[in-house]
Amino acid sequence: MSEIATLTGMIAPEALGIVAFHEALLFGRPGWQHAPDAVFDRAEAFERILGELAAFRKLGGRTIVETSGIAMGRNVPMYRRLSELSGVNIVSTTGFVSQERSIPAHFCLIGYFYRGHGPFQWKRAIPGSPAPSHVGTKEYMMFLFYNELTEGMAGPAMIRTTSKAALVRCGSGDAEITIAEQQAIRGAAMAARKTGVPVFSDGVSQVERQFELLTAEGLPPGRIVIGHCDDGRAVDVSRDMKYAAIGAWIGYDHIGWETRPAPHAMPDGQRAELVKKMVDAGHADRVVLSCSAIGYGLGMPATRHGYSHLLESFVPRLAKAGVGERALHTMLVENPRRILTPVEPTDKDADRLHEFAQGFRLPMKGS
Amino acid sequence: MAHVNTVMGAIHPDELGPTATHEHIVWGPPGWEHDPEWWFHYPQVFAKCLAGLVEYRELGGRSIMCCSGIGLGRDVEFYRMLSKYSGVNIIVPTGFWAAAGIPNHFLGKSIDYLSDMFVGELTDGIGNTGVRPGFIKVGIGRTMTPGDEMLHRAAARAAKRAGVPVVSHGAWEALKVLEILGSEGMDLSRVIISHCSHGGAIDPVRDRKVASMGAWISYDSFTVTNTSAVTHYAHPDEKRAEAVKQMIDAGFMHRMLLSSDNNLFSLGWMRSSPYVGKATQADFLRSTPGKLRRIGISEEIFWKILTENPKQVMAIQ
Repeated sequence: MSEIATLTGMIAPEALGIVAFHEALLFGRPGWQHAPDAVFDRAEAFERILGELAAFRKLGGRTIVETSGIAMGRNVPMYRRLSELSGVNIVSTTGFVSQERSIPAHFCLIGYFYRGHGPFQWKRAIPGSPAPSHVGTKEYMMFLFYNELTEGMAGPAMIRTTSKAALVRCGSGDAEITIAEQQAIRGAAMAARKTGVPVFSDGVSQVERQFELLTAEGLPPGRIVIGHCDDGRAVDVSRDMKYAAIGAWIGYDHIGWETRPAPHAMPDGQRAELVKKMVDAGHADRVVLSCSAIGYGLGMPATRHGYSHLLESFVPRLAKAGVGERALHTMLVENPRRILTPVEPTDKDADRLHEFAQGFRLPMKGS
Repeated sequence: MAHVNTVMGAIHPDELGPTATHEHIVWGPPGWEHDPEWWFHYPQVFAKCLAGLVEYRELGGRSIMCCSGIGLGRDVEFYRMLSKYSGVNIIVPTGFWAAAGIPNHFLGKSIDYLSDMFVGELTDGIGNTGVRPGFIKVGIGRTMTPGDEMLHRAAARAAKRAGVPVVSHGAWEALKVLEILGSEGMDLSRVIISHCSHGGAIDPVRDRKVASMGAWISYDSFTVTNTSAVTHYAHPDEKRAEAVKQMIDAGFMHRMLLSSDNNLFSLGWMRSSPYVGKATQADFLRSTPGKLRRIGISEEIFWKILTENPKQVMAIQ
């Protein structure tokens, strides 16, 4: 169980090579397709993303972690074809980000509309829980993620693909963690424990609370990547060192987002300083790097920089700032490999759970 | 020329015939498609919806207003097939359910953006289908939140520009709704206050007030009586019939709409068959006349309300 799920199949950790840890291919907020001003030219999107991936590969990149999660435009069959054609491994993600950006109303309201009814109530109750049904609970989110990690990710048009997710995304808004976000964060930790995959969290201004929730569900810090630590609104290198010291991973993953109006924009020079400080403090083995580049925006603009910005511009900048070859290799190759390689599931009930999860894939009753 | 927009194109208001004014072919909060637990077999759902509509037509219904707005299951290609093969006119809205149901992409958009978007759909059609909505549907949560108020203002501005009626899911804040729509300069005779017969929302005093201000009262939860179902608004139809009687006695028969708020299929939740044997629009036509007759309202009046009132409020001049 030490192989990593990519869209084209399981691969050995050594095959990952240089990894960009946080990128997006298609990217849009749920509901973009109803916007009169949103244009989706699929052929153009395909060609554009393919070009970006090829450029990344030409510079030595081998793997892209696509972290948009369930509802932000993820199109598994399309991504899989892009991976086959470009030769870049694509590792994909289940989970949600903040409620505002990515959790559709369905997941926030389902507990309101359906509280358990008749035989379904008993079929779907969580053993040992007083609630009449599992909807609107962290367990509900856990099953959603768990099935994507073990069976395959949901594709468009009500199809479950055979490509498994390899990590779980969670996140929150800046001001608070909503109830739905809390369920998603706890559910992410539960699913990660039961499958051995890591969790990628973002919403760095709430990092403390998020970290509490994740560890409260028993997820060790070594399986948590704290993303967006280079968010221009919330840079704090002492915070990063604190979490690195207890074994969590620090993501500097908005490289290239240098100009407004992006609220998290910050010059790359400052990012390089952050990385340098971490390396100098001996935390190179806790840092991952990426660009959060958007290949094709759905109802929003794509980024001006592509996946290749990392290797083309930022890595030379780091080298110039005095970050050694060895530290770069650690951050670009070894760290992603160590994060993405699944560990032994720490939840002893994982097997029983698998059996139980089957009960949630009910056949449709005839009408 | 006065007309009503259906999914098959514009028709004359007199062609509407008996119309259930607040129904859903399918309805669900946006995002169910990402949740494999609620995936379904599309051909079966089509067959079920078609059977429901055919039965509705056999029992005398001719038109249905499906109140599922943007992102709530409004699938006009699907609806066109259903309308074509059942012979029932289907009228769809533009607009969002309530602030809680606005798809993430539209959070933070301005009132003007929303009203332009509604007008765009009303004049140019939904997406690239060319199908024009016949009205605007908006609503509130348990109370009128700032987001709900924004939605209502956008709806009023768009309705004024496009000449369509507004359906507001907001009986429990009806006067607030009218105040907001009125302050945007909307003609209140183009406003339908929905869900006035929901369990917990019956209020004859409010209904008379709303009707005397010129707006329409919609008693639209007939048949939702099964209290073991998951609805919070189920209660006996006799209470609804009583409300209808009071309004007729007060002389407001011409300000009243009747319907049953049933989904032929629910997306991502459990209120309707095939999961549980819930009522349909056909059951509404079957059972409601009897409920009314028992307290002295003739069947003729039932059909008259169903036929004459919708065409007045729905006609686009």
